[in-house]
Amino acid sequence: MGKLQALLVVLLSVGSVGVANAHDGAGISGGLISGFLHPLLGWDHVAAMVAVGLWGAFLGKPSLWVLPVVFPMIMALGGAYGVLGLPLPAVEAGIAVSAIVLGAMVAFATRAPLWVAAVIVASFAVFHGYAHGLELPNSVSPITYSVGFVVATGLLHLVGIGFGLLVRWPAGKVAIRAGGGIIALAGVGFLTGMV
Amino acid sequence: MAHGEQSLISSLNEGILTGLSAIPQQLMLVTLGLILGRQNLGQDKIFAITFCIAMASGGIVANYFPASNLELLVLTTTAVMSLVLAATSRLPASFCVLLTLSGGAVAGSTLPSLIQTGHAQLSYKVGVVLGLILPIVYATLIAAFFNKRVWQQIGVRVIGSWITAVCCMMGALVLKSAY
Repeated sequence: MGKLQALLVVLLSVGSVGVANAHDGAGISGGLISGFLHPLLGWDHVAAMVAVGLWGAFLGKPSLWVLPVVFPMIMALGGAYGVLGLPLPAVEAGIAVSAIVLGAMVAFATRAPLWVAAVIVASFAVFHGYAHGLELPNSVSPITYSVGFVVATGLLHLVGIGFGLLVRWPAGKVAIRAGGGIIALAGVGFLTGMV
Repeated sequence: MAHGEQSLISSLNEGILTGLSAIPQQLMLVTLGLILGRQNLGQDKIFAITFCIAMASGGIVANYFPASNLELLVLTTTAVMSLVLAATSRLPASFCVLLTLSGGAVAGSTLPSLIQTGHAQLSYKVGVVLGLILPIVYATLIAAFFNKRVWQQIGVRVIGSWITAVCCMMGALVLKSAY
């Protein structure tokens, strides 16, 4: 990877994360933009989804793409669960814990087997999907909302993967682990209500 | 005469737009196109013939035996297809034929309800069918073209997972509104 590509990866990562702001988009009228913005407007979601991409990149192939494939699929199941109005306890806590666990996995450079990583990611994806699903029926255009938020989720993973590609350099590896640590700390903040 | 041609083109356009705006069907046909395209099966005449026959059969059966909740059937078929697209890199040709048959039949079964939404001109009906066939053609070409590098193949599988996710959400919404 050339220097220019590395710079682009960093700019993409920093620029994309910068737009996040806690769930202010809940009232935006439906459609593609609303669905697209929803995952971007909650720090807790952003942190966890970027962490999935980071961890995938850290683990290398095939986790690099398997984790970002597993997450939206299971998230949608959680979303369907939420749309149908079925109960799921401790959703917000689950989302916060997802940031802690996934961030810690990156921070401690945990090299879990693929299936273990997929199970961990899938378990937390349910909580994220459920939170999205609860707000979905109020949207004006649920179909385009679904498309928008799935695409946004995938792009957040891509941001994490982009940042995670720095793992090829020793300094990059340190930066990624530090990023994971920040995400885990932010998760503690979400859980305790400090963030 | 000129007015007649204008009306013909207008109803054809309207039909194409009706077909293109049927999002669940579009998702299913795009998925089928991606599956066929990534294995370079799109050029195989057997798949085109199978799809057309299945679509026509589905349309004829649905015309005489109208069914409700077809959207759920389309979404379930799409979810299965997209899951297959995301989970596998290559499929046996026989399985692809099966998917083509299912996709064609399910798309065909929705034709009567799509056609009933507009006027009864033949050009409109042809337009609806064209609107349904266009996405499968484009998706097949795109998947066949973006099939040379590993990241392109992964990209197609990722799109498959996204389609599965969208289908799950839409399926839940359909279920919620139906019951």
